Amino acid sequence: MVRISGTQKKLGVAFSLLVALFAMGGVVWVFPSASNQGYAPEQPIPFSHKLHAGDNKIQCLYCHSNADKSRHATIPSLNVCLNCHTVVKTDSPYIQQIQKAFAEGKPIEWVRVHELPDHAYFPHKRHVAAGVACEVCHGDVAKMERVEQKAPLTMGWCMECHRGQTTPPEVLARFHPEMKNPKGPVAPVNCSTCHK
Amino acid sequence: MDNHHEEFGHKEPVQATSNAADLGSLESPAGAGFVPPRHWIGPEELQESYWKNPQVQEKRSQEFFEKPVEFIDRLDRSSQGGVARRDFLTIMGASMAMASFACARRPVHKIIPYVVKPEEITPGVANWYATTCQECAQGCGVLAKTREGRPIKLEGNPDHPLNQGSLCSRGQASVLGLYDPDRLKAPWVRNRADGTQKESDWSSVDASIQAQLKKIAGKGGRVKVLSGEIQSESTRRLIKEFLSAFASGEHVEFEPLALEEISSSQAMSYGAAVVPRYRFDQAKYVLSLGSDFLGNGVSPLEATKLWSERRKLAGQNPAEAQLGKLVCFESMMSLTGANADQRFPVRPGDELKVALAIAHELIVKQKRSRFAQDAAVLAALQGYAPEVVMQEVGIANGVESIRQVASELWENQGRGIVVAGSVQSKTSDSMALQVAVNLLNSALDHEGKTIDGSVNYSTSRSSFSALSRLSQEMTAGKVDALIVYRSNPAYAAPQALLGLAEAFKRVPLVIVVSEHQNETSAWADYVLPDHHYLENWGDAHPSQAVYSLQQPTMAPIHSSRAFQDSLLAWKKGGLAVTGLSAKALDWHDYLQNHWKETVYKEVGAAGSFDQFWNGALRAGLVDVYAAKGVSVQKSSPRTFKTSSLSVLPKYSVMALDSIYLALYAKLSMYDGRNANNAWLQELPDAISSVTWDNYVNVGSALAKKLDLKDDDVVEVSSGGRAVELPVHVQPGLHSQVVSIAVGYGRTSAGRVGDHAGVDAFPLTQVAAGSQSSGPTLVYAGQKVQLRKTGKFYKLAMTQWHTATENRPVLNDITLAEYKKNPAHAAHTDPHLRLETVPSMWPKHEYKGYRWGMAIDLTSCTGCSACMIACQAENNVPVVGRDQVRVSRQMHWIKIDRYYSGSAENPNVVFQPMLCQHCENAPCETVCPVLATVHDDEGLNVQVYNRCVGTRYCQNNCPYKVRRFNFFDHWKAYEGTANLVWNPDVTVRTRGIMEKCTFCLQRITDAKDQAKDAGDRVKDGTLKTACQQTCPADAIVFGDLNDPQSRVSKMKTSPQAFRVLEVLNTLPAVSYMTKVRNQAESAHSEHGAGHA
Repeated sequence: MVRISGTQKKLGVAFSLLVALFAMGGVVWVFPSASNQGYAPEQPIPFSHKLHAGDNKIQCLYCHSNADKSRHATIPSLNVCLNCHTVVKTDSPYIQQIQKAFAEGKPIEWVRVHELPDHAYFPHKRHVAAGVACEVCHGDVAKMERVEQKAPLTMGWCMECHRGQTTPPEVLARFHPEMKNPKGPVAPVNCSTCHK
Repeated sequence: MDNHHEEFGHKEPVQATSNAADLGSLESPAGAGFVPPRHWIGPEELQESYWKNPQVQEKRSQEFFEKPVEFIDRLDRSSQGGVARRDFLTIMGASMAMASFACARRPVHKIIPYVVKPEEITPGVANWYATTCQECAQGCGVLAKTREGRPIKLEGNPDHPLNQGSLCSRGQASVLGLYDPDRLKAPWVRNRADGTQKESDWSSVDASIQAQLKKIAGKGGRVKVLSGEIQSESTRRLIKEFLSAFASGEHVEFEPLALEEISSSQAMSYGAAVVPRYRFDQAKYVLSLGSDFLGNGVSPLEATKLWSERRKLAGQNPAEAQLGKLVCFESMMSLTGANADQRFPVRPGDELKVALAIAHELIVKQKRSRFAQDAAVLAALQGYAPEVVMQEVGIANGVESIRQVASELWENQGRGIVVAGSVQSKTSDSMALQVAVNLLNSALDHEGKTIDGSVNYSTSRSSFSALSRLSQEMTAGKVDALIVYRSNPAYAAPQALLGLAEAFKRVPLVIVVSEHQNETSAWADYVLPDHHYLENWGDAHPSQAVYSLQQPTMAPIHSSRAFQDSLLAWKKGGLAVTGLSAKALDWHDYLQNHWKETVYKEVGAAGSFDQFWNGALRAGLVDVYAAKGVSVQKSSPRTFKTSSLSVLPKYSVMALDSIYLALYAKLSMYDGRNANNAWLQELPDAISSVTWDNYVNVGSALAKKLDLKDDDVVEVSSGGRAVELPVHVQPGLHSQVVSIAVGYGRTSAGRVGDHAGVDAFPLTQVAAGSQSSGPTLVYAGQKVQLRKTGKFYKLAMTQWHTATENRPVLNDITLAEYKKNPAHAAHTDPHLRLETVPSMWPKHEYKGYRWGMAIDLTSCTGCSACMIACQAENNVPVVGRDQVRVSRQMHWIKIDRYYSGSAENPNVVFQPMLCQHCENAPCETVCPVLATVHDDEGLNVQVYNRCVGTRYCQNNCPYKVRRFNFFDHWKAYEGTANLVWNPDVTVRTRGIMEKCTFCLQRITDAKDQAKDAGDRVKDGTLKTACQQTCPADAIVFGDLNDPQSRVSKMKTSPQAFRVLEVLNTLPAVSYMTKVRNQAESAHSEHGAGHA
């Protein structure tokens, strides 16, 4: 048996704390902004935005129909898919999967790609109303086979746009035509703007 | 003055003084002769030396009563015997380090869309449904805000003539009741022999009940339905039709706290049994004889709405200001008494004597009114001379007071109201009291003017005598089946006196239909889950003028079924029912057909029934007069029948050495039906500020005589029955009176309500009553004995919590003073206004909106509905009794109650206190992580994700309005209770500070809608949750940058002051000083000024 003295115990604790600190530092180094940028999970059905929004040029709002009405853009319900797919490509096993789910009344569980923390309240509606194009935050979805989180979606990234640094020129021109290279906020930057 | 600055802990600021001198206009508008009022919280403060005691100063300056670490250590050790806090922290540290590895990527979350999205639902956008509150029998209109198909907040329906947009605390809290995890989830079948019960399903329960009912119907059996008071005419009709299948069927309605005597006395005095409408808006002078019309009266929301119209000084020229007057004689401190301009503590039963003494003074002595020559009246009043009565009642200057009240009543004849009746004045003579009041109202020409007997409320059908008859029949074995619906006689009736336990045993089939298991369901064969009212169809007919419609706001959560659907299901077992029931498919169908036959016809609507029905559904109500296009009827005075005076007793003296009991109902707990609602349990009583328990209110003088202090446990016994309760020393009680709230001490309410407080219903008595009325319930006037047990029980009282250490935070003055010098109203003490003090911080600029609030203390009644509205809107958690004891309640808005004057009969003022959203906010400057900051619309915002929980802000807040999450209180919202959260507001975790946000999410919503319309937010369209529900319209919120907004105008009125102005915090909340319609101020009588 090895007897551990009080001092050794303390040293041990200090050492493990040190290791923990280094480990946490490592985590921060690997994932500097705690962002999910680049996240592109596999979905239960390999829905292709490239095919729908790109090749077939279906408007974003056709499926994400609440983006201009609500905080949430919303994933379409199955009946929206079936608007077309009762006749289009009904031989695909994936379409059949959707039809089966619809018949059984079981919703498809999509994997969430773009996610903000629970204490951030981002309203799609106001951004759509302001003329911020979907691509500004979601990337060029029309070219994506599988949706990927292109933007960091961190608070700093939000603030850059609200402060005018990365504001899309057409939005800037609409609200602040006098500003060419804005140095101050062009949209509200209060904590209370997003955190309720 | 010097004292204050010492207390405030800062030296006389040189800068401030010179500035104050510069601001000539602000200098001492008070002038000579005005003594600032002295407000006190507890009677102990009345001792001169209290605030000079260093121990007191130390104790009262602590925001928390115990040092948190030690306290939690003790809590942990004592409750679990497990991990103490320090060990816990160590473990937590390690697990946090480990957790941070695990959190490198966020967890995978799913998005689950609808299969077929309902057309009306847009995720993230609220739908509103108009329905009718069924928490009590008043039938107020409610708008239910639903998100993704579930109600999350209730608001009064602004178009409803009764509550006009307001809602009381019980109505606000009923949304939590919907999600109560202790609700019955499926039918239960009980075995009465061994008391066991097992869960069942509807089809087998129905089959069995159908068979038994059919057998009873076949042999000509007797079936009874016992229910609470039912506002729904269609439900009542359905029950009647159902019972028609049996040879003998009867529907008994019993409401324990119903004021049956009002309609019975109206029948005696005027011929028809009605509950008249009291038009408080027309009344300049209101005399309440033991009536708590602002709290638990006939229609308290409507009464408060109307009454408070006469309590507004904003917009009036101060010199000619008009203010209604409220005079109150009462046996306990009720909300109405607390709001009275003049209040006289009497014993229960004295209300009648006072009423007759006033009548004697008016009619016999002063020979006023048409009854002055009426021999019957003169005879009845004989013996009630004020001199005789007042000698017994023991009011100082009693005879002059009676004379003064009589003269004031006469001056305001036709413009006053005399009102009586509430639980605490239900003595065996409660009927006589009502008749005396009817006599006064007729003598003073109030009848037909301020008291409207034609547009009356629906009469209470509750009958105690019917219940006692039913009990006798049951005991005699004359009842074959009993269906109990929305009634709990095993708890809320004098069941021991009636022998109900035995009576239930003699009934072969007992079915209890209820949302919960309760005391009565323990006597049943079948316990069937009923829908919550937010899941059910229904209607109400609260007054002649209005039909109110109730519609489901969500699909039922559990396997519950509407009581009405149960009746319709059982008749399918072969019962020969009559009327609509015979062919009704379900309850919804029945209700529609009933409306088609009745309301649709009565109104004579132009379009088809479907149009009419959809219109009624959208509006939530049908206003009969508006629909018929007739203006509100002018009522004509009814003739007072002097024969009714025969119920008046001969004058007799009550024993002067006895102690009398007044039972009463709290606004929150009422008769105990909502005991399992944690929001209501934790709502501090407006007067005593006690949560979670009931207690014996003992006046200061009696407490001194019996050597009783707060938290001493005493045994209160009467008529052989006794209860043990802690003492609360309540200023303003008569020295021969104790009062106790009923509605506590439930034994089978659920995890929240069980054993909270002590059941006081056993102290009720039954009076024989008259031939016609039968036995009646007596809640007040019993002689009781008090015995000290030597035990203690610490009440969870918020009275001294977050108090401001004797700093003067409000002002109140008399109307006479206000008229003479309105500047006195805005007097704050010390009277310094430091608006131009230079600051080291840059000034805030508000280019768009600047939100602000004004609160009128003259009209605030202290009803506390705002507290629950805020709780529902802002996800404010419940902390439980033990945490309240150490000052950790979380309410963002609280109602502070202050007394002034003597402990025997103090004045009361209520002050709603919430985050003041200071311009120079002391909290902002001390936060080390910038978690509390100012936004560019004047809000002081708390950023939860930044907060690290130093609590510096809380310590530095002079208003004590910040609340800290010591625990993860949200975890207490178990099971379905989780559904009550507002998805637009963050649910806070442990270690985070929170406070009022001025309903930030509602501001965002209003701005969003205004932007859609390309406009600014219009004044009056944006309301905070507290403002929205306030029945007195005491809270006004709006844009201070708009000089035309209501709040801007109120802020500049002479009545407006800001709390602790001397600190130069420049709050965005202004208060309108409490102005009392009193001849002279209480504080100048007792005017010691501040200690």
